[in-house]
Amino acid sequence: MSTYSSDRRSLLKIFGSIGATCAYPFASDELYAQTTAATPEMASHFFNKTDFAVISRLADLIVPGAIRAGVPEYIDMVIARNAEQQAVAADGLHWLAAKNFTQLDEAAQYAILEPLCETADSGDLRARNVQFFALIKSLTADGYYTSRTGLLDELHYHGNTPHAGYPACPEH
Amino acid sequence: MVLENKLYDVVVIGSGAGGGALSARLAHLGADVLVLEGGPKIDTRTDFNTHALPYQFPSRHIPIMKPGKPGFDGERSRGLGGKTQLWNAVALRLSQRDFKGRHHDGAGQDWPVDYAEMAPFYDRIEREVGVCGNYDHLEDLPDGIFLPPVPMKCTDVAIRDGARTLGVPVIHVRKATLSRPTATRPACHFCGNCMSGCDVVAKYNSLDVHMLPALKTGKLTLQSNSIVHELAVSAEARVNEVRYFDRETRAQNVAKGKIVVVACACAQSVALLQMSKSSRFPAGLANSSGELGKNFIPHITAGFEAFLTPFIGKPSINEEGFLDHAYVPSFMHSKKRGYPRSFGIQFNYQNQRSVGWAKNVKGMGKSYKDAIKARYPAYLTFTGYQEMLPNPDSYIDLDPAATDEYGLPRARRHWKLSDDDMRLYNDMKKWCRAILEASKAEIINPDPAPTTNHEIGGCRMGTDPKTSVVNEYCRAHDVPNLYVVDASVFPSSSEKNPTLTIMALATRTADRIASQLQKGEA
Repeated sequence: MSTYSSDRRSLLKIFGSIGATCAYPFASDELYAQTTAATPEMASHFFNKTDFAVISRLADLIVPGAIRAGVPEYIDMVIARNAEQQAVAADGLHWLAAKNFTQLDEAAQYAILEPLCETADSGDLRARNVQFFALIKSLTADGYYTSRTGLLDELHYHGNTPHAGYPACPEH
Repeated sequence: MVLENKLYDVVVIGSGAGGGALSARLAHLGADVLVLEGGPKIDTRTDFNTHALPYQFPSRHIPIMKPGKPGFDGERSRGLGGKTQLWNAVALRLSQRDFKGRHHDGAGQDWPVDYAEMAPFYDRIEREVGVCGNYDHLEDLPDGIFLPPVPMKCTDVAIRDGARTLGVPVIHVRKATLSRPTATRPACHFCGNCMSGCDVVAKYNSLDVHMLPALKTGKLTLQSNSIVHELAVSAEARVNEVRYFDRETRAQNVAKGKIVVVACACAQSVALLQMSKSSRFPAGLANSSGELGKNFIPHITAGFEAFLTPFIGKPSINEEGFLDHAYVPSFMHSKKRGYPRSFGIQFNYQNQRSVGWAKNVKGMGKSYKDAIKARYPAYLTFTGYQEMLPNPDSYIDLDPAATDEYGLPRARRHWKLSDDDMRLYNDMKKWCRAILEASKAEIINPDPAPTTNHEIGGCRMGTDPKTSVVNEYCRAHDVPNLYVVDASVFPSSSEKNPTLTIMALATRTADRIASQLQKGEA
């Protein structure tokens, strides 16, 4: 017997609240599972003012325009209901505070974050600060591209409109 | 409210593909039918969040139902129409190879029916539901009665051209979605939100297409919010009481039918029989064989995501259509290979409202944001679906510890892949990657882990009561007035989507039940 089985499914979950299932509309069963998760709408005041400012700055460095699109409020709301993410965030914020992150100029801030980004992109999530970066990047991407600004203004989503028919591809 | 003393001809538990097609057919044939659905009443046209966008919700999750509308809040209580309300509508006939796989390659179990037996029932169902598709004349994917196919997307054409260099066929998808209007339903308008409830019913669902029209017969009663938790049997081993409670008030009630049909969507059908223990059937109803719950053979999928490089940086266009417009039918079954059975590939069925892949794009800052924008028109899903063979480690049982929101035991799904399954899985991954590369795609996740989709098996159909749960007419070997009509009865899964076959079996079983009622044999 191979190592793949139902027991392994829980290991496949990844960071982020929307996650791969949202990008990946398998079938009604999967869709059903993703959208019936309890999602209480909570006020966005989990982080204190100082930490919220750091989170906001991180989000805007990862996706320029994230603050204007309301992404920090989204991140706050998601982390507010996930104890594991709260612990990762607390450690990460502590680590950045020790580097006086908010006092640095943009180039210096990038210099701190880019190595974390590269390590996270390589799939190596062992270090706590890399986990923190991966978490904030994941939530920033989800928050930005589900916002009106990200989905409509940036990506020009045109779906959700009725069409009289479906034209054949003109190039072929 | 049902009068407890009313004896129906047939009580049907579940209102999805199986329950819907069967109950409508029986009502048209004159039987007095009660359908019990665990979930609420649904108005397809007004109750779903079909056209919502994520930013309308602080959590950015689009709930299935509109505020205040119940439905789809649990496995036992989805709502009238069941999963056909949210399915993607891919409608494929099984082939003779699928029905007689053991005969073909020596593994698994054959069905006690074959393609020639099933073909007229596929015909009937396709006429009723409306299936679009192309006449491809393939030996392993029988043509049906088709409405015109929908043109492929430009991205599909790119995949088709790439696959062609490898000799791999790409055909138009076959879907139970109307490509031209009927007297009662409009044609699809390609809004792209098929799996969020089709509010115009261009896509088939069992409530609007089968059950509501059958109400005109005066023979069909639809009762929602009725969660069945036990089938009680008489001394003669016949089901004499269908015990249920109200989803909202929890008030207990009983329904009675000469014949009882379980159509609760695979795992829930198995669970209901397993919950229905009695002195006569201590291991679960209709389980003298000990096979109930065994032979769980869901589809195993390899889910790739990719960017088609010729489309990177092109302007964003609306080509969502009705999600996937093309399909890679099985081709390995006729080639030399080191495993039994085969696979098919469904692709390009992502909904562009969600951009969940963005977080996995490398980098940060302006270049990261630009990379996502450039890739938005180029993203696609690409998923191999394989047939899994039954093995002793793959089964459905009741969780001894966890109960659901109604205090009923949860159904557990256990699955493990055999060495043969893994050989097929690895070959399927290899072919998926090869087709994507030949189509100039940049693969995001080159080595996906296996996942399951389309629950199948658990109440295997067969001629031998020692090794199967139901006979070739879906009737329980042990219980003469009990039928099971969903994918749990499939002896083998094929790699093809199960719903059209569930409906074909349902309409065939309805004919059988009606003739028994007529002869007074029920």
